[in-house]
Amino acid sequence: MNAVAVPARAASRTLASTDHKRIASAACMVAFLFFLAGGLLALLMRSQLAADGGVVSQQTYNELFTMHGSTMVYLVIVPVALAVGLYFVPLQVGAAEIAGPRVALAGLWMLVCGGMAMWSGFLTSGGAAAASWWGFDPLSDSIHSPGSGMELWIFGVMLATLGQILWAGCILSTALRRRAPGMTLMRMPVFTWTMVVTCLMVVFGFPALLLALGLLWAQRHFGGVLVGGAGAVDYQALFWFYGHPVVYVMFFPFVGMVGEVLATFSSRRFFGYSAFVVALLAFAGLSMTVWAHHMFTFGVLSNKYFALTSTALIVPAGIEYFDFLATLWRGSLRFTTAFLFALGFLVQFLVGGLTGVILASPPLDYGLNMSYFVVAHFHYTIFAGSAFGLFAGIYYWFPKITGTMLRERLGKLHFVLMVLGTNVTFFPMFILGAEGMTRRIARYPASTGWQGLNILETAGSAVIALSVLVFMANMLVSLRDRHPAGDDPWGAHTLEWATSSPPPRHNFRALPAIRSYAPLLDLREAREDVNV
Amino acid sequence: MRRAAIVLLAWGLWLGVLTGAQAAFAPKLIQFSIPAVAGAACLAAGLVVWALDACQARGERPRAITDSSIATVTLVFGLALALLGAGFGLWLILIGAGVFALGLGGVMREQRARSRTLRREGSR
Repeated sequence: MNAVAVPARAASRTLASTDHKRIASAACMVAFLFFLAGGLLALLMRSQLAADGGVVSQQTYNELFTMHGSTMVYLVIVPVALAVGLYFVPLQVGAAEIAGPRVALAGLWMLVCGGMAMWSGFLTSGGAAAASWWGFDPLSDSIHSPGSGMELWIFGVMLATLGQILWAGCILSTALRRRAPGMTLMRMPVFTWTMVVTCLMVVFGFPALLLALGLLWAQRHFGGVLVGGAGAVDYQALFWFYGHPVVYVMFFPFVGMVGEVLATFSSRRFFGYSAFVVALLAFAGLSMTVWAHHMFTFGVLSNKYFALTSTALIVPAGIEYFDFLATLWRGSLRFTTAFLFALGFLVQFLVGGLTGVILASPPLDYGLNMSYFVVAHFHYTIFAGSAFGLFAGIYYWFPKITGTMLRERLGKLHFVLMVLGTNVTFFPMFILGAEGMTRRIARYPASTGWQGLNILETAGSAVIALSVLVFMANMLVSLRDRHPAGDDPWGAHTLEWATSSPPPRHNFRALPAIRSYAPLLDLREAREDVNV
Repeated sequence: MRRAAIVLLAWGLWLGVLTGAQAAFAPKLIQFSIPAVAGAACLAAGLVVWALDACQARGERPRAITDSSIATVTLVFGLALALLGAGFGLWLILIGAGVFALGLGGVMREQRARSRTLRREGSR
C-alpha cells in the first residue's frame, strides 16, 4: 500500500505544494519555459527583418510580435518578478510561511492555465492573437480579429493577471502583517520594500486590465460597449493604467535585487535607506499617474499633466541611483558575476531611463511615437535593465535556493556575451527609430537603407541566444557537479542568509536579533567589536 | 500595533493627491476616475488592515498550514475552463462549473481538517 501511495504524495507535493518556495520555484521554471518560447518568436522576427521580409507573411509576423510581447510581459517578466518576491519576502522578514499559501498556489496554476490558453491560439485555424500585446480596440474586435485565437488571448491574459494579483496580495500581506518580532517596517530589507511597492501597483493597478479585457470580450460578443473613438480611448486609458505601472512592476523588484547585491559585494551597509524607501513609495505613486503619456498623440487627455508627472519620475529615480552609487563609494568591491550583472543593470538602465525623458516630452513623442526608438527605449529598460537585474539576483540567490554555487567563469562569459548581444541588438534601434523606421511592419522597402542595421541587430539577437545557452549550461554543470554553498557564501546582510541552503519547510530554526535592515551585518560588526 | 496600515493609507493618500492635482489641467472624466478609484481602494484596504491589526493586538492565534492542496489546483482548472467557456460555449462553462464545485468541496474539506487540527492543538 505504501509503495503505491508514495508516488501519489510526491506528485501532490510537486504539483500542489503550498510551500511558498516550491510555488516560486515552479513559477520560475514555467516562466523560463515561456521565456525560451518567447525568445524563439523574437529570433523568428529578427530573421524576418534580416532576410528583407522573406521568411513569414505579414499576418504571421503580426502573430509573432503579439505573442512575443504578450509572453514576455504577461508570462515571463511579471511572473518572475513576483515569484522571486514569493520566495524571498517571507525569508527576509523572518516569516515561517507566506500569507495565504493556497491563494499563492492558485496563482501559479492560473499562470499555467493562462499561458496555455494564450499559446493554444497557434493551434486554431485562424492562428494566434495578432492585435499586439495591448490588444487595442478596434483592432482586436470581432471584425478585425475574428476567430478564437483572440478569445484565447483575452482569457489567457485575464487568468495570468488574476494569478499575479493573488500573488501580490499574498506578498503584501506577508511583508506587512507576518514580520518577525523586531522586524519593523523601517527594518525591512531593500528588496522587500521594492516588493511592497510592486505589489501595491499590482493590487491597485492590474484590476484595470481585467476590466478592459472584460469590456473587450463584451464588445466582441455583443457590441455597443466600446463605441467609436470614445470607446477606443476608454479602452486605452484602462489598458495603460495597467500598462504603465506594469513597466515598474517589471523594474522595482530588480532594483531591490541590485540594491542587495551592491551592498553585499561592496561590503557596505546600503546607503540612504530611509530616503530610498520614501523615493520608492513616491515613485510607485507617480508611476500610477503617468499612463496617458502612451496616448500623447491622441491629443484627447491632458498632455501637460502627464508630461509633468512623467518628467517628475526623474527625481525618485535619481535618489535611487544616488543611493546605489554612494553604497559603492569606498566599498571593498568583489567583482562576482552577480555584481557585474548589477553594474550592467545600472549602466544600461540609465540609457533606457534617459531616453524615457525624451519620450516624456509631447513634442518629441509626436515624432518618435510608434517608431523603433520606442522599441529600443522599452528594451533598454526591460531587457538591458530588468533582465540584467534578474540575472544579478539569480547568481546571488541561486546558492540559497539550491545549496549549490553557480560557476563563476561561465557566469562571466554569460555576462560578456549578454552585454555584447544586448547592445548590438537594441542600440541600432535608436538610430533606425530616429530615421523613421516604424514598428510592427514585416517588410521595409530596400530604398530606406535600413537593411544593414537590421542584419546587425539580428546578429546581436543570436549572441543573446548564445548567452542564454551558456547560462543554461552553467545551471546544468553546477547542479550535476555540486559545489556546496553553505548558509551564507557571500557574507550577506539579510535574514534569508541566516537559515540553511536550501531553507527548511518553515524557513527558520532560530532567528537572530533584528536591530536594523541588515541584521547579519549587525551580528558580524558586533563580533568584530568583541574581538577588538 | 504593527503599523502595516500606514503604508496603505499613506500610499492611498499620495494617489489621491496626484489625482487631485489633475484638477488644474481640465481632466477628462476617465483620466480622473481611474486613479481616484485606485486611491480610494487603497485607502479602504488600509482601513481594513488597521482594523485587523487592532483585533490581532488582542491576541495572536496559532495557524495550521495545509502542506499541499490538490483541491486548490482543481478549483483553478474549473475556473479556467468556465472562463474559456464564455468564449467557446455553455458546454465548457458547465464542465468548468462542475470541476470548480469539485475543487470547492475539496477546499472546504481541507478547511474542516484545519479547524479540527487547531481544536486538537488547543485542547492539549
